[in-house]
Amino acid sequence: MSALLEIRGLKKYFGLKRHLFQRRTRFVHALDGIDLDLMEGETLGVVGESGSGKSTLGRTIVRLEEPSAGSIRYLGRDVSALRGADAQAFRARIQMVFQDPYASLNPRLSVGHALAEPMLVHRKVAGRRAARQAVGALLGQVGLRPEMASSYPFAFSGGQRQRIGIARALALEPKILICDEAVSALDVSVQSQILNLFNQLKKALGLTYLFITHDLSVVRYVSDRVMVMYLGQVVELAPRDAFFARRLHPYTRALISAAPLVSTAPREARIILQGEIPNAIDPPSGCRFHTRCPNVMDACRRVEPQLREIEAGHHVRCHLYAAGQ
Amino acid sequence: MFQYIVMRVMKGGLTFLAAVSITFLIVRLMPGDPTTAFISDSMTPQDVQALNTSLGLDKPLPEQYALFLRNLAHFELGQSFFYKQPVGDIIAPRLGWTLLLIGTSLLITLLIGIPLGVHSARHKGKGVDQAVSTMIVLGISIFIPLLAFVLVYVFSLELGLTPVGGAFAPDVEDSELISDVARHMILPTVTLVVVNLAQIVLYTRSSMLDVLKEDYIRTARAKGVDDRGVIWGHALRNAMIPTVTVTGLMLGKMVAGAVLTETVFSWPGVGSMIYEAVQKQDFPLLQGAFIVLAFSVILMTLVTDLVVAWLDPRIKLHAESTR
Amino acid sequence: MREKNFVESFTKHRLGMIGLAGIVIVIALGAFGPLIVTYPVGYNEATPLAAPDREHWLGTDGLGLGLIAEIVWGARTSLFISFTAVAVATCIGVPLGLVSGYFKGRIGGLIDSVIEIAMTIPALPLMILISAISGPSMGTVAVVIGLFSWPTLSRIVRNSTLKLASMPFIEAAIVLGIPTRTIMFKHILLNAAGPALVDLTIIMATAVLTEAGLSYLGLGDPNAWSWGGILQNAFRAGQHFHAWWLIVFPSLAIMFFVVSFNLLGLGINETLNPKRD
Ligand SMILES: Nc1ncnc2c1ncn2[C@@H]1O[C@H](COP(=O)(O)OP(=O)(O)OP(=O)(O)O)[C@@H](O)[C@H]1O
Ligand code: SF4
Ligand SMILES: [Mg+2]
Repeated sequence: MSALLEIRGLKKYFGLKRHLFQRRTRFVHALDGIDLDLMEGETLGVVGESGSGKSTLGRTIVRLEEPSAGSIRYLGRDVSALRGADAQAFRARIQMVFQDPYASLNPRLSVGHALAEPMLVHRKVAGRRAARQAVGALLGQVGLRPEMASSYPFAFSGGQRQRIGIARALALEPKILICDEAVSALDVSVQSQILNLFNQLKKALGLTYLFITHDLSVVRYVSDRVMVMYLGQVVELAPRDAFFARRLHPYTRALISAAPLVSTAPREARIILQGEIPNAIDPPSGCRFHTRCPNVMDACRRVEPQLREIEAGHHVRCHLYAAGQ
Repeated sequence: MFQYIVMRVMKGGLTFLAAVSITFLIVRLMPGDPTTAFISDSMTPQDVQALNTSLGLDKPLPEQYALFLRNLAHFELGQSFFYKQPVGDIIAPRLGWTLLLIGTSLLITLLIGIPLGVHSARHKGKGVDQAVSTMIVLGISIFIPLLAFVLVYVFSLELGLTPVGGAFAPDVEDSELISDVARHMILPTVTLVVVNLAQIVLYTRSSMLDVLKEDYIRTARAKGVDDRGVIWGHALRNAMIPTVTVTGLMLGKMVAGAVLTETVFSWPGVGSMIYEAVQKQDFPLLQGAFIVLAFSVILMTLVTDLVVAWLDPRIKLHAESTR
Repeated sequence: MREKNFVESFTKHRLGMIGLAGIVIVIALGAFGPLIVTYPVGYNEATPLAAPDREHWLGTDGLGLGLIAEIVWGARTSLFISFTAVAVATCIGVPLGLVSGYFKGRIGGLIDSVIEIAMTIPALPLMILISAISGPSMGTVAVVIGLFSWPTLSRIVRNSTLKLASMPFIEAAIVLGIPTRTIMFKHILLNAAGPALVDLTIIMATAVLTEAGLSYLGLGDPNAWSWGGILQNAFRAGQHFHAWWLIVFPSLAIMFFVVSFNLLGLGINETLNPKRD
């Protein structure tokens, strides 16, 4: 497997509005140095508390946000440097499935129109008849009937809408799908149908997924690898089974203990994290987790731990696993 | 707050600059000879010469503009064609009459409109809603001259209760002046009140409905404050905010209404002067009237904005976090 | 709401339909009336200032011309003014609102300030100045009214756009590489059209009132009959208190047209935002 997407030192700072008498602009460190290789054909699950930067990561990859620093390479080409037609072509390679099936479809466009438009813009099809045929095929691919093309979104259920959203993301034949909480808004029964659809599509089309969710059972079901984010950084990244079996990082442990059913390892007492997630404007010094970590040590407050490969493919950012331990 | 005031005053200044710049451009960029707007047939060659120098019409446009602004800063609004007097001297006494009329009718409109708006918000329901929206549609559709004529026809000509026009009888004694002016003011004021009432009711009502939805009303109710206390105490202060805002927004419309109303009633304000200036093609006077009215409206808008900011602490915070 | 649904529900709104009918009547009057009644011009044999009677249903003016003919021909002026003004206002207001709402940063803020400034400057005195200097002409008046009507429309479109621009379906369109122009003028405008439409009816109503006001002040086109102009003629000749019909009938025509527009707006508004309780 080779890396489809190489992310290096990716940062995204959001400037807060500054008022007249304030010296410096303050920044939210939404992403603070992300390094990540997304492998062809894998599903990478991304978890973390609210505000940890998961969505920002996805949005920066699809260029809804401009990175503040760092690089994103797709098959070796730096995509943030792309302009004009090249940027358009890149758009087609990476697509996104949104969380809210109600807000992510334009209520004024028929399903057929919404699906045909990107194909026409990117000249994937020429002419209305070809477009209609392609739309029918797309709808079939996501388990809907081609006749539905003439309907408007209000006629569909949440699950059906999410299928339409997926069909739209597939219209440009992308290699990578970013799914940001793509099933969170759905009923549990519908969730599993959509998750199965994702798995089918992956097999049929050879897709690669970046699957963002806060639901560990979903991550467990779909992922090949799991990545944990905390305050804009990656704190643990590991193959799924090793991740759930080993749970090396204290934060991961706390997350999993809060959702005990997903763990294969013997249950342990629930670890309740103290306090709120600190604010991402002035992140804590040293280890960002030290304000809430049950295993906190002296060094944690002063020295920032680096993301290290502890075992084959298992990366952790924590002083507990410093060399030699 | 200080910062907000500074920002707001700057915005007001900018608006005024924009307004006067438009008049400058209109006069100079109109097709045809730009000077005709300022030169009337009755002028002697010397007059024309003097005017050319004072306006800088022989100089390039940017210099004319600078001169125009400098004149304005010295309250030089030019010379009226018809009266052969400085425009400022003609407008000044008339402005007082206009402000008196607008101020009085605004006050009365608010005194009637706010309770009406609050009442209709309290008794929300299909019937009341329908009545309110129908009333508003009729209110914003009124053609002022018709209303004014009907009032004069009925109350002055048929019933003989009110004077036909003007602001006071020519032979009135000084001691009777105030009551005489008040009598003359009744019909023009009623006209303006009727025309503007609907909007005030509309805005008070919709902002009341928003406020009533807000949490603190529910909290106050839960605490056992009785219904009337809640409505009039908590909500009204908050409903004042949009009402004052609307007052600011409506000033332009009030001025437009005053121009037509004054004309029908020969009220000796700036509005009826505009009518006369139109008949006499007195462009400098028209330009001066616009500048003075624009200044008044911009100033009043500024004041209402500051009042709103004072009533509503959120605005200050908002202003500080977004600017 | 879908287009078909909208039309269907609108037809159930009684006041809205009455407004629409009123506008159709005025359009018919302006389109076909002049084919029946001749253009009123010069002196007429009829008695000047004749009160309404069998022969002259609405009376005659100071020149003995029938008021019916003047009102019929005046309808054309009001129609021309309202539709021209709304076209001008739309061409300026909609793009400015879309751009300022979509590009939130500098450009958006700048345009918003321009909108606010344009809203604060009192329009009528400025329109009077412009019409007076440029000389009375129907075209000028229509364009000038349009030039002063766009700010509210811009505001409304801007506010809708601000809300819509961060909707996931717009972000989806961006990710799909749909051109920005298409996103603004199709994806967003389709959703912002409702509230904008309501404002268009208000703009047209206000344009009719403003034209009538300007004509009444003596700034109308002397070569075209207009409802406000009939008033001005009577007023200037000092006939307004003797011949009430010269004031009442043209004024009623004005208000009929204006009320129709406003009822149409009410109907559209209540169809788009149906009352829940
Ligand atoms: N446009 C923005 N402007 C300012 N701050 C932002 C913006 N978008 C995100 N943030 C901030 O960046 C941080 C990360 O946000 P992000 O949405 O990526 O988190 P998340 O992990 O997706 O959370 P959630 O689980 O709630 O979706 C948060 O502190 C958020 O407030
Ligand atoms: S580095 Fe220290 S504070 Fe941070 S997670 Fe590891 S043990 Fe906890
Ligand atoms: Mg998120």
